[in-house]
Amino acid sequence: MYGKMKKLWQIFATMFYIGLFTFGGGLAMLPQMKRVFVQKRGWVTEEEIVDYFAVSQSIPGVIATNTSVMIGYRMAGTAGALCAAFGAVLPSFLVLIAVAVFYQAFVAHPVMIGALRGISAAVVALLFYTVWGLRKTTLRGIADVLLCLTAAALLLLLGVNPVWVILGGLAAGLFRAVFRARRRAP
Amino acid sequence: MDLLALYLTFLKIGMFTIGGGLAMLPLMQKELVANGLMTMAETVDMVAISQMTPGPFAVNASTFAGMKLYGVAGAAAATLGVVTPSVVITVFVAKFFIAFSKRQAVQDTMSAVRPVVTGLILAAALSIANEALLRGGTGGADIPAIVMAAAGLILLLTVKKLSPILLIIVCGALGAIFLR
Repeated sequence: MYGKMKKLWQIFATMFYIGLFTFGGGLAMLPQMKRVFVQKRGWVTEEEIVDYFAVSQSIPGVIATNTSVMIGYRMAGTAGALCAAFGAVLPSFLVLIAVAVFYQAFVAHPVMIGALRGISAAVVALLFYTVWGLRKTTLRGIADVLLCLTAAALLLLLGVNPVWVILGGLAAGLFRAVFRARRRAP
Repeated sequence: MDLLALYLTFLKIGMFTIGGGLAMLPLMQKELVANGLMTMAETVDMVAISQMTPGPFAVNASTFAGMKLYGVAGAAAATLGVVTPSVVITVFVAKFFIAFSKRQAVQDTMSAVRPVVTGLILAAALSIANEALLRGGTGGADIPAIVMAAAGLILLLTVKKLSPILLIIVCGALGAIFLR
């Protein structure tokens, strides 16, 4: 009982911490999540986190919340999912309540604008670093590299909705699964 | 409109948006402006403030809108509304996905989805870089920010234990001091 409560608290506290420092949307959570859940605590593997992001993007709702729910559920069932979601949402909630009151001073303040320029630079560095870090587990051959580049090109050049891009990857994956199953069982 | 109606409005927004973040904006604007809850100009403020503050865009925007309309109770109603579909749907999906994820066929399938996720992150990196560092091609490049991003990337690649959050805090502080 004590062990379970402790784990739920850890899930909540970790998600709160990550939520407080996520700028730039759902995908920008990935570096923090990877660092804490995979490298520091060893609770999930890198592949699992990447899979959760793929699933979270393809179902309705807030991506960051969906991903938190998947990780929380994986670690401690429905209670874990609720703690993770609550932890991920609470920092936003508290910050926005405070900010909504005097936002006009906040939006235009030079110190805020400067801080955001710095934070954006950090987010850019983190996202490129994440792509680099994911290459080993997600890009295992020339076909994977092509899938990755095609996905990026579809999003950037043609403005395709990410959901369709992921479903495209899923279709490619089904072909691959059938192909490999046939090869394994001659 | 009372709190329950506000909750249900945001529940609808959360339920009918796939892809998250800014994908929610059109529906959110439609619901808020068409129902006379906000002016278009206020939704522009909502977007700006939601992108400047930490956390998911959708949650930030919902809290902001709820707070403007009915104070803290409104913020709670809107935020709970927007995350309710996420939590309910994802718990069911997680149940199935985690149960089947060890199967070989699922692993083979996901092995082609993972490169696509890496592609999504690459696209996010390039588009945020274009927006934040090159200012979307207007007004010239933000040289100090580019230097900071390059230095950050080099540090991340060379210092193994560097925490992403520490990098965000340090760059934010440097920006507040030197880039204002």
